Amino acid sequence: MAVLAASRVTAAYLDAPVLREVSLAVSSGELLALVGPNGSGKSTLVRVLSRVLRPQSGEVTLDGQPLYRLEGRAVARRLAVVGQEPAPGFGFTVLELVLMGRSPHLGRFGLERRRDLEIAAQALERVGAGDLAGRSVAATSGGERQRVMIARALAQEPELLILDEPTAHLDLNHQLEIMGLLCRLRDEGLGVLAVLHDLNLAASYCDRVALMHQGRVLAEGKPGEVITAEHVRRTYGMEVLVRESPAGRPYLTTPGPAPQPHSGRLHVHLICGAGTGEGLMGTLAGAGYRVSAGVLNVEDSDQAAAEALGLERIEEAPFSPISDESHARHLDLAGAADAVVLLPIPVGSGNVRNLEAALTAARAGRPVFYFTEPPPVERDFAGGEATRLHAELLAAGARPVATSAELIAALERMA
Amino acid sequence: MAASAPGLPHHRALIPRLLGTLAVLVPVVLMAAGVSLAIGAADIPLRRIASCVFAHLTGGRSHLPPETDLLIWNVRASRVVLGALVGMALAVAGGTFQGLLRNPLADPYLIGVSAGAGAGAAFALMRHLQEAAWGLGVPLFAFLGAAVTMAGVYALAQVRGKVPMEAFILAGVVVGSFMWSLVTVFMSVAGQDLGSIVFWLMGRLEVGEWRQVGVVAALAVPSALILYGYAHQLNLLTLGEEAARQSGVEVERLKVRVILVGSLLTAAAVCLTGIIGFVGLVIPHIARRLVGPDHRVLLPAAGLIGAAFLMLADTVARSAFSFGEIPVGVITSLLGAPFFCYLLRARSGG
Repeated sequence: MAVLAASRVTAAYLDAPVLREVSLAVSSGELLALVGPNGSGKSTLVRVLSRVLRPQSGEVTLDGQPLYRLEGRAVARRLAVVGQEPAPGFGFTVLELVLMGRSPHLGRFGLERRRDLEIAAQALERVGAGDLAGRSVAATSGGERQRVMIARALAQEPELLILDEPTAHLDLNHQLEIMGLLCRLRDEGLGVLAVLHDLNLAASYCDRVALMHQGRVLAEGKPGEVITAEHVRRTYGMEVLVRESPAGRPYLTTPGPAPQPHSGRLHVHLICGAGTGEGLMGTLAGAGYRVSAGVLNVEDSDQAAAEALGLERIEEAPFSPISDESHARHLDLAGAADAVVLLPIPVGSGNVRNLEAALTAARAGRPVFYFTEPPPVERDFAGGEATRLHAELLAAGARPVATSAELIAALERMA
Repeated sequence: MAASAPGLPHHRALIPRLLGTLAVLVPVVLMAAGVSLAIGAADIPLRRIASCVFAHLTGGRSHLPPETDLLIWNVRASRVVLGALVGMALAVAGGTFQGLLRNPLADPYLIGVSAGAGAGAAFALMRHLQEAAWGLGVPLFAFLGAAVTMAGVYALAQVRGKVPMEAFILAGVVVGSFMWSLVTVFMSVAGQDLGSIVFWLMGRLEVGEWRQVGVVAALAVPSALILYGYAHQLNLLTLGEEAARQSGVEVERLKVRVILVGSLLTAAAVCLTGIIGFVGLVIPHIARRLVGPDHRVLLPAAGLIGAAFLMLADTVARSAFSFGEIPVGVITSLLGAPFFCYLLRARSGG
């Protein structure tokens, strides 16, 4: 069981402090993500933890011993680092590069023995790059090279592994491959600290997450505790939606392009809920429509999206039926719109009034669109009431649409 | 898991690679030495040369006319050995600096050592100090000039106990330019000694005298061996300074030592013979093409190729032209510059 710990570490380049009183520890068998916006001090913390940048105050210890008093080779036998620096061109083969990882175990002249070769070859197999052994490093792709650099670190036979943005510049599939590899290494007992810029990767793969902001660790803990809309707002200065993935992990979505000031385009009112409207909200707002929405329960995902986009909206308390007051305001808002869109919401007794609002607008002669996919009867949890109201909508002149694309085309024709 | 997993990937271990390289290059050096000894103004049969060299090496008597013996051993052999030493020194220093700076355009003169040596030598020649210090006045001052330059470059480049490589190169260029302007100052006040200064700066090997060659050997051979001891750490340095440090290399210590010993090696090469260009730049490239980037094989290969190359270039310099000798530095530049262009084109083309 190895532990690398920084306690109350302050570090600076020249005189500009970059880390302020940072404490963080990583130990065997865990995968810890270090996240935070650019310039928050992640890479500096990596340098402090990897015996490259001596902190001005505070202490870094490896298994209780002060890191900066240990001999470099002794540290390298326990702690390996995969940095951001690109691998060298200079013409080494992949295997030669991985063999260099053996150097803290070798004599001064670096004479490798058969066993070192075996360990290097195994390291390549572990990262799934055994077939690259004879290839020139210069002839590897970005994803391959990252795996080769990890293999080099593994050849050091470390107990702890630090990676600085191992997924940077990689395609999505290679990012997932690297994260899967880190999980396997964690399962094999390694302690892994990875700087990640993708909060979703951090949230879905890591055991713990440390969020840095302006040289400090703002929050540290389980992904669900750290990756919250509030933390992201404070550190990245932006609004995001935080959901829970099927695996019980948080994941973020960002609203679409920032709404443009609506330049005399149509006012479209969306009657939505349960995530049926969020995609369309972003699309329409991004296209310059003035978008409003209602009636949305607070904490519903559509409510969160509308809030993030800053849309005009009618809200109701969480899990509460639509009140008389909300319904009256909703009728006003929908009645003022150039077009009303009823999304394919599941309808129960609590929100059946949303259909009544659509019907009122249709009877008042407003253009109303309603979605027919999935069929209303399948979404009717109000004892047939929803199905009946859809039929009345059609009778009142509302237009059925099957897809968002069809709807948008119809709206474009109106403009 | 793949069926072939237990088998090791093909990999040539260091010792066989090193021995293979030596097995090819040592005979090349010996042949170059033989050719260089055999060719000259006076035609001497190879058999006589061989018996003379054999006799001197074994301490016996050569049975040759004394003047022939003198010509072969004291004039040609000393010059050939000096050429081998200087060629080796420049190529090893060049290969080392290219590795240290991770820049294939680095050469031993980049960091101002040659300019400092030039200033020292020019000063000694201007003040007629050839006979000082038991006849080693000029090399002594050249060496001092190189040392002073090195100290200045190092002091300038150092920031809080560390030597950033960019600062090191810049400081080398700055101090080097200053030293070159000193050379011009000495030249402009040298009067009739101007010729000897210019001649020194061009780089030539006809100064060979066993005692002087011995001094160069005493400086160059240990320096080159010490640098060779850093070969593996130079390999790690190609990963980047930070990565090397994280692999256990004490990078700052390595840099300081390699810079000092590499400068010493360069100073040893230039102090007696002047500034012979392009060997330290081109030969490591040729060696890298032949044996790859591993400094543990690259440095010996560069040293041997450098030795052979300079012996042959000197043979051309002293015998190929009907009007007499020309400085070997001219030959190396004439050959080196176009060849370097070829290397550049070949690299960018493929």
